[in-house]
Amino acid sequence: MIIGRAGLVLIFLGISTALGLVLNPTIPKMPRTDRTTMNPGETVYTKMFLMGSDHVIRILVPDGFNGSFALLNANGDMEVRKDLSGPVIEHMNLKRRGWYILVINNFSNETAEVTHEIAKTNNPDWSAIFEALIMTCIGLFLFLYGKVSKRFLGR
Amino acid sequence: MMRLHKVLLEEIIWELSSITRCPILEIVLGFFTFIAMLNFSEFSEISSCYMDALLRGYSLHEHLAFIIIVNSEIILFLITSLLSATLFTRGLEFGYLRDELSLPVTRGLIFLAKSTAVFLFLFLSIMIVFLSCLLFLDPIGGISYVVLSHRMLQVIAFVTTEIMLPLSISLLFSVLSRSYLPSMLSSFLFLMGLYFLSPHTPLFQVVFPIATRTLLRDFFSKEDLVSLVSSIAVKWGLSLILIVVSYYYFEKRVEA
Repeated sequence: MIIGRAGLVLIFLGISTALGLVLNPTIPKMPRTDRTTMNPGETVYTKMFLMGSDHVIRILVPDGFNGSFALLNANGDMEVRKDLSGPVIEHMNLKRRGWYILVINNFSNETAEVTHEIAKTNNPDWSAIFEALIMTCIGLFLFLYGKVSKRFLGR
Repeated sequence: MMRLHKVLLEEIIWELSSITRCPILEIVLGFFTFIAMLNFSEFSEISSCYMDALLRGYSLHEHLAFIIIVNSEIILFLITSLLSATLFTRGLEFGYLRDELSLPVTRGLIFLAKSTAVFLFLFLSIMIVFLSCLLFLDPIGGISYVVLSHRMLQVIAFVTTEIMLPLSISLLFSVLSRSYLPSMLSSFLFLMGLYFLSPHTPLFQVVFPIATRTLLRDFFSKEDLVSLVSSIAVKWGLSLILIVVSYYYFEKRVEA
């Protein structure tokens, strides 16, 4: 009885999660833009939670700026690392949803205004949807197991 | 005293089992999950220190709890109205309440059991959805860092505060009314009226979880703290007054 009910709960959670994630890109969301003044030799860290694989990093720095940027994932692995000498637009294919840290270094001897944002493309997060469907399948298995054990084993 | 606790617990479990029958709980959980995933958006926090960026800004709890509550206000009103009317007014209309009142338990205990059951239903459904979404979104964080974090206490306080006002209003309407449908409709429409009218009035801080969002943060300004304390005081004060009035009316006036 409890196993069957837990299975049913998992089925509903999985289907709703998948449905919500499929329709998520249809809800308009403003990309978050951060602007900061970087002193000479300063490093700025932006911690962000990203979903979906396709993203675009836009970093606006003054011409002649000397620096670099890197994107680290939750395991500390570097996803992107590039030199920064002017405005840059970088397309990224992230491995999975989760926490990322964008590191921007200023190597120049001058103070610089740096604006950066990470925008998500309008594609659903298919890996997360797939995981939600796996959750639904586990729920279905538990539900059927609960039904079968109740009917044939009397438990 | 021990016997009283046991009877109260049995009553609460009995009431809970009557409102969590098969597809009801699952539908509510599914809807809250759908709303959370539909409205989830990416977010970022800027910091000048690497350790700060790693530790301080773990705000997935805040982001997710706020999204679930702020986007599910209307469905929260509907569920509180429906459950309160089902447990109080429906029993009165169809005569179940008379059978309950003939049991060797006090009216106060029955009121307490029913209202606690409605509260627990809402609270547990929101918390189950919150935890499942949290673990789904950040599986690398793991149970120890995500679920056993001190931020869970902040989320519990936030969710409890946001549930109390609609719950107390619905309880009052269901105790005052004698018919199921008018009770449910009047309570739901009253809450909806508050929801749509409050953005133009000072009630905005009471109905919407804008000031109470500070509860979910670790760092806030003095102004935020003042606004949070006043908002919580008004919300809890109003809720407690309405619950006491409902209790008094149920104890003294309701005739089964």
